[in-house]
Amino acid sequence: MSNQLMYVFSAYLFTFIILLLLGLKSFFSYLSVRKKLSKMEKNINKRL
Amino acid sequence: MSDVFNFLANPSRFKRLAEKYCPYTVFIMFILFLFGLWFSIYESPPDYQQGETVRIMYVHVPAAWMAMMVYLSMTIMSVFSLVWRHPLADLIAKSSAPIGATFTLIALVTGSIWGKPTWGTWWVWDARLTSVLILFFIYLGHIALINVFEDEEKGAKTVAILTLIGAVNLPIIKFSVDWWNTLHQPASVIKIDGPSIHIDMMIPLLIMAFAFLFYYISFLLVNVQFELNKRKLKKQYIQNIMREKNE
Repeated sequence: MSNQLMYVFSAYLFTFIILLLLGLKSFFSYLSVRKKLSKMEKNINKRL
Repeated sequence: MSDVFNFLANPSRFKRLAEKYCPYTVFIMFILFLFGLWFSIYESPPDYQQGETVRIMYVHVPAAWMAMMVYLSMTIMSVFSLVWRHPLADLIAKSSAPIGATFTLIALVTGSIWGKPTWGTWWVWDARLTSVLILFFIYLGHIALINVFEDEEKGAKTVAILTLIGAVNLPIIKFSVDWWNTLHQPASVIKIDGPSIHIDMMIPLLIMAFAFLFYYISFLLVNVQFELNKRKLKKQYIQNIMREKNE
């Protein structure tokens, strides 16, 4: 791989790794809170 | 216009809409990224001076545009929060900050990678680079400050004021290349006498810019839903404790 393409590859790799990490973090945080919320709602409904 | 804002002021209505439209925005984002990558890697020509390294532009420039656009949207939301006390404005600003910080980091790092073969150095303290670095620190300050306050309302108000003060940096970033003698090149797309970039390079640039825009919209919707659910969870937790005490 030429020197120029190495710089291009590094820039694209960094960009997409960072975008993917942020996306996954947001999505899993959302899922975990939604899971906790539905669990709590179930518990409340059981008690009522 | 005010009807739209009033319509979206209801958090549960906004949540329903976000849940419904989020998969579509994610789908559009993926398609745009696929097309954008195809055009920027295979279809666009190398530059006559910079050669292949010009392809870094297709991730660097959209990231830099979006870093500024996200901060602009946070500034508008801060005005809505301070002036009209819109119930979702704080949440949108809070949810936007990590995405904006990520775009700024991408712009800084890819700019640095592009700088090495083009300028012969990874970093220079020129006006454009320094003002974007300051924007990154403002984003980090926003994220840190909002998590310090126990009283969410008080925290949101303080952070909204900080966001408005930080907005002074936006015109400095935009016009730094015109006001000072910088190593960074002047604007070649968003300028008064029209873009000076060739259409073959403009198409992938615009596709990637829209892909980044849809990335922001998609994960903003995810983050706002996360914040709304977190608020609801906190409220129900307190209600549970109160109920247990009364029993």
